[in-house]
Amino acid sequence: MSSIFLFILVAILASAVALALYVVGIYNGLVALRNLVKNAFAQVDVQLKRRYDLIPNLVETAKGYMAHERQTLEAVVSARARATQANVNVAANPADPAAMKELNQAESGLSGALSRLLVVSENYPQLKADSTMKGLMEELTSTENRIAFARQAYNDAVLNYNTSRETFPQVFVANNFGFQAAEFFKIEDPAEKNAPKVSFS
Amino acid sequence: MPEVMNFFRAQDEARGRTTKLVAWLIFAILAMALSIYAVAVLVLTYIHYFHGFTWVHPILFLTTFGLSLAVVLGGAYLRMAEFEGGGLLVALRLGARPVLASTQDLNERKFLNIVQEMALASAMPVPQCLVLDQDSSINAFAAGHTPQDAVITVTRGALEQLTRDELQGVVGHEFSHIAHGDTQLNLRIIGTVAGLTALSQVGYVLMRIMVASDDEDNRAGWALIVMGLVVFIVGLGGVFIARLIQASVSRQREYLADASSVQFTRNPLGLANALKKVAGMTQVAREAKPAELEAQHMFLVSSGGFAEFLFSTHPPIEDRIKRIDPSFDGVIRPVIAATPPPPVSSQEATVQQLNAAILPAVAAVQTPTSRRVYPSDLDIQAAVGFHGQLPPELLAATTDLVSAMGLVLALVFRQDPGQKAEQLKLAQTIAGGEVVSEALRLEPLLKHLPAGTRLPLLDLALPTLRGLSPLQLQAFRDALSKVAYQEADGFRLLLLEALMHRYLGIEVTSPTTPSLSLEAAAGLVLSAVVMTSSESPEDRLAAYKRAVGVAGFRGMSLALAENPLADLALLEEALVVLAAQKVADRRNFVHACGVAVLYDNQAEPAEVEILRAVSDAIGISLATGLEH
Repeated sequence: MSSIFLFILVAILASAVALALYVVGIYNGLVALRNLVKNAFAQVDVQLKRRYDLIPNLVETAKGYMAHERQTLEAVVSARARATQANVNVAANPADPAAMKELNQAESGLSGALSRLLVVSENYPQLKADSTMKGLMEELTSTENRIAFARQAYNDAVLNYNTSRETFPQVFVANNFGFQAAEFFKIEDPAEKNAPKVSFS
Repeated sequence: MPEVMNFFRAQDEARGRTTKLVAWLIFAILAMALSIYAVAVLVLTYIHYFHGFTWVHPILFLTTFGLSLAVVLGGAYLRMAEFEGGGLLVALRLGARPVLASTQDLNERKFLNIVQEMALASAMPVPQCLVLDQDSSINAFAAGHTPQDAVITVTRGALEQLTRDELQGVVGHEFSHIAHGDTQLNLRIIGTVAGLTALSQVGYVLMRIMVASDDEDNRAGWALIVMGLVVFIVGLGGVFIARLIQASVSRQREYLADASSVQFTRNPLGLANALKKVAGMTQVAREAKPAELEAQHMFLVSSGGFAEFLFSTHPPIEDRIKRIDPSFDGVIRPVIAATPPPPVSSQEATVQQLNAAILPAVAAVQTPTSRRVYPSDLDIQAAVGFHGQLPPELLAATTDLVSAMGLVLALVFRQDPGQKAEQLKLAQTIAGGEVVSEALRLEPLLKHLPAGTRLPLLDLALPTLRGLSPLQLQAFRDALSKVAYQEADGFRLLLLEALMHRYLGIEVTSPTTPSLSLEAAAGLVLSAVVMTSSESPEDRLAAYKRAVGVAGFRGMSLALAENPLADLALLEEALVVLAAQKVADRRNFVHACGVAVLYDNQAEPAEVEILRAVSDAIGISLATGLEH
């Protein structure tokens, strides 16, 4: 064994150690950012739960005035059930993009069902004048504003994490150690979706 | 009661100890690297790689010595980098879940309340609270670099099995770790142990590689195996020594934390009973997860499984109990983990209801000790602590992200209607107008509050704002501090800036490069502190003069600055000048301000507020003397 062999061995060993340290450092950084994403979801979760709790009361109050709109009401109830389930899955692991996608859809569905209910309720002046209904509507609007705000903070955390994991050299570590891209929390605005399309053609 | 401790002194001791410890560890590491070199020389000479014997082989020295140092330092750095993000990330990594301020769970609510009460009473920043849901044993830990980024985590078992008093004792113990800077001390040791472990692992790998490649039948292959074995053993020896040092230091800190907990809570039985419960559970359900085992020195009690005597990071539990509760007979009664505990004792509930029903006016706090000419740090700390009750509705507002923003906004509404309108306009877009409507809803409630409650409300509301993203925080800050300063706004803005620095890590900035001299800056700030009191002009001057003597800055004017609060921009500049001084000087200055405040043995709410504003702005924690 020559001295060159010894030298090469030491050099390989040294660079292997350095590389390992570097990779572990990147790995830890990604874990930290992903944890912050999970943490940010907790804030959204609180507000979402608050809205899920409001809806049964809302439906119950509306029922008394608009018995003929059974379908609309049932749509709200089932959309809520779906969203609640999706929320449970996301809360278990907010960094799971599939679960988040499901929640996105469920929440959009719930927002859509709720806005249809509001549109229909325009035809029931007594319902609109009901004080319980007024209070519930007020709280619902407030909660939705808060959800939007907490969602913004969550999306900021997701953006931060996703940008980091797509950047060189983090991207190698991210791909090899299963750091999936986190999903943004986007609720499609039902007002936008349902707005009548005006065509001048 | 244990001897009354001075936090500032305990801080210094902790820091001195850390330095000594780190020096010893560095010495040990250097000695190890040297011995590896020595063995390498011997082995290589033995196999006739070198011709003739000498200790001097520069290239070999560089490779072995440099390599072992690089491995140790690299390993240590990596381990410490894991703790980079502060206490929250450490706790999240261990699987803890943040307890939200709006939690409905009774046990979690109790935990949050205890932490808040203790933080307010000791003028410490309110730490973030977390729960280890999967852990049914009774345990807790604190983590973080500074009191600002500290977190307190308790296990689900602790929440469920402990009474309020016991949990309070446990929380007090963890508070003390934060206050004494133990979390920082731990960090260094963890790093070193990890570095040495890495060294022994490299040796092991080296040995295995050479053993596996058995095509070499000459002595060189054997020499490398021997080298690997030596590196492995030396690394292990280093780990052994480091752990011994860690354990001995850690045990001392545990005694100190136990004693301080009693001082915080003024109730030795709480912690003693909690420890008894832990001891009773030992045989039944004290199993730690691997991740917890690795970090066991951070916990309230070590989790067992390790050799109890030498490496134990915690003193024997019976001994700890005996130290705080001398009447303890040494008999531990077994506790069955599965028993569901009474949620809140009925007596406790009534006391809470009573407290909530009666909102005692926050009177100026009397210093607890007899008349003293120069108050100690402890007197100052006791005087600035808040012991009153806050109205439930406002308390609830501090727990919700949006409501907390509204509360902060309402607390710093400008006097001038035009400026207030401007503030409202800027805040209008935040959270779809919810912040503004919350601020307007809370404003009338705040009008009737006693003067001393503004600070604790801000203390509770600001940590909630940690849930904001950086962009959202920026928007909120813009809304708070637009428009030029006016004297009518008092030092509320100053206080707010200082608190933002304290809780959200936002630097206090001066618009221009400071042109004030140190003496002028110190004189101005001290005058501002003195002028907020309602004492007679003669008393103010005397208080000022006494504080100048305590502050110890040379050349400070002995005359009070005129109208020091008139120009807040200048005052901020003075604070920036002071913030650039050494830790010891700044701490001394904060102490001097405290002496001035307590000149008449009374800390009025306004005085407490400005004292807090000054200390937070120049980055010295009143409770601990620690640098922010």
